Amino acid sequence: MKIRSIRHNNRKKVFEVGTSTKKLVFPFSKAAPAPTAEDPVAELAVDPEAGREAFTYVLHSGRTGTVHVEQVLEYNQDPTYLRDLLLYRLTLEAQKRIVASPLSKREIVRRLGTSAAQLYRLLDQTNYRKSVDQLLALLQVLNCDVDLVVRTKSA
Amino acid sequence: MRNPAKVPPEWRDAEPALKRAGARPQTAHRPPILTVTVRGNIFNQWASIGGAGTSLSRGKAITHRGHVHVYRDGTLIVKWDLDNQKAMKGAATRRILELIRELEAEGLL
Repeated sequence: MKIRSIRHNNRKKVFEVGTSTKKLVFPFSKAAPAPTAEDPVAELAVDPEAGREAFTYVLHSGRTGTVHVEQVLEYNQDPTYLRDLLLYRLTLEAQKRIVASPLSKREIVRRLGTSAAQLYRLLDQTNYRKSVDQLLALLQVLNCDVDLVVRTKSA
Repeated sequence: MRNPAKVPPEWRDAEPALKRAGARPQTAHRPPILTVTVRGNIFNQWASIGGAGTSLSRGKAITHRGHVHVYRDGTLIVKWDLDNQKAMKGAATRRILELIRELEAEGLL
């Protein structure tokens, strides 16, 4: 996700990050080094070196910090970002289970009722264009019980 | 041996370091990535370590909660999971992995 605009709000003590679809905030306290009243932000810009996916700020003291858009998305609990993280964790778990499983990959393919290419696609942790239910089906074949726990977030 | 007249001026300073490292001369169009010691081993043109970002004139590495984003020429090369030692996005070359390992050992990531 590219950053379109970046501003700092000293009164609210946040960075205001503009993306193509929404405006997000990132508090000064989460950034390192954190801007303070004694050491405020002197320069702030979207970082082209990071493909406009991060912003860099310079404090009055000369200290520099960089914040990636994923830090902003994580702070704002972006559903797409959190879904990708869940998918990544499930994929890693499936990879571990497939190594430990006595079943051959061919047998897993047969039980899933799919192709070998599809299995390898599911096991590719860099692929985020797969669904969670496909992974759940794979984990089921690997003899795993997956419990989905829904709980209210603590403050 | 590469004809010095054909080496672009911005690559010329990287050539002796290439020889020292015993690496093969690069034939690709992109400049080689090398380690240099500037307050720790950083990528070729990387100049300084500042906060969560490692800045450089041509590339950048940004660490965030157990993973590092590596950029070159403003393009994400790899998002590397430091805990599980796996690529989360893109693919890492062996040289990039070596550099990530060195930066990790030096406590910069």
